[in-house]
Amino acid sequence: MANQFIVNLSTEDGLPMKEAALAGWDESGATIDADGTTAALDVVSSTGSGSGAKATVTVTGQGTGAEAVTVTITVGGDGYAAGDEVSLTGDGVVFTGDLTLTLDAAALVTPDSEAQALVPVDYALFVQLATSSADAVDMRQIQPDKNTYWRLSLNGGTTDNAEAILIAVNIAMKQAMQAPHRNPVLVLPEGVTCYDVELMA
Amino acid sequence: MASLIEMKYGTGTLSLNVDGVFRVEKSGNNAICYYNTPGDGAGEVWAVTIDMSEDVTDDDAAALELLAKRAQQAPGSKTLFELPSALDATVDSMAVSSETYP
Repeated sequence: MANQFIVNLSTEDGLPMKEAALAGWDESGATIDADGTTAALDVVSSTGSGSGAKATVTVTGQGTGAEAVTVTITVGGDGYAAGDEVSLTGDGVVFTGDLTLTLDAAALVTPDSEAQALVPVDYALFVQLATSSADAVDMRQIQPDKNTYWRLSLNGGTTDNAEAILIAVNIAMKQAMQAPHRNPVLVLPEGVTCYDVELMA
Repeated sequence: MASLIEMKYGTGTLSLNVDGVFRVEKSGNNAICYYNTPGDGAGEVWAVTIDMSEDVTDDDAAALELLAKRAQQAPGSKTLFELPSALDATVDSMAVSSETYP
């Protein structure tokens, strides 16, 4: 009989932005000043409750008529939703003024489409934070010739609640491993939701 | 049912499944648990390195090996492990690696 715990999946508290180059920014409120790449700039929400994302802006071909502006999200943050309006304020060197964008689903990480996920613990060893800011928790497992892990991707994780998150996942794993014939439900700290569960190699 | 060892972590504990552990040694300032599971290379097994907030001694590793063996004989157990040399030590991290059979 398989042992597993249940993770309720939700996007109601938003999602991180996808950490990748992101097209579609409105440059009408900005002046492109020079070729170069900015330091990481804060992605500021004009609407919605997203926070924590950062991006760099790279300009090439300034003044040549073949100018290109590339915005790359380097930190995904938390709590963003399709329809939110966000902006980047220039560093005064590469550009001045604001770049703006209305987020669509493609700008956000892709959540699991299910309402719940089952995380099997039959080969589980331990849990660990994937990052210090608790963007995800990994449950490591070993099988012959295989070293894999289940990754629980989280919205709302911070350095402040990372410890509580890890302990919560550990409790669910432990209950599933030591209480066969029942499927305990992962209870995350308030304000933290899980939007995706995936087996990683 | 899995045999777990608990280690202090913040305001709670973290668990390590010690089913299949056949040896624990000191490795640098850490403890390394060898599992009876083939690793990803010839002659290798999976191992878990435990990094504690205090340096692990040879006696600490021996105590962990003894505790793992006891836990294996008590399925469903979850015994708290404390470094004999530093009772207040907490676990900083654990990591899986494929190691040559010791």
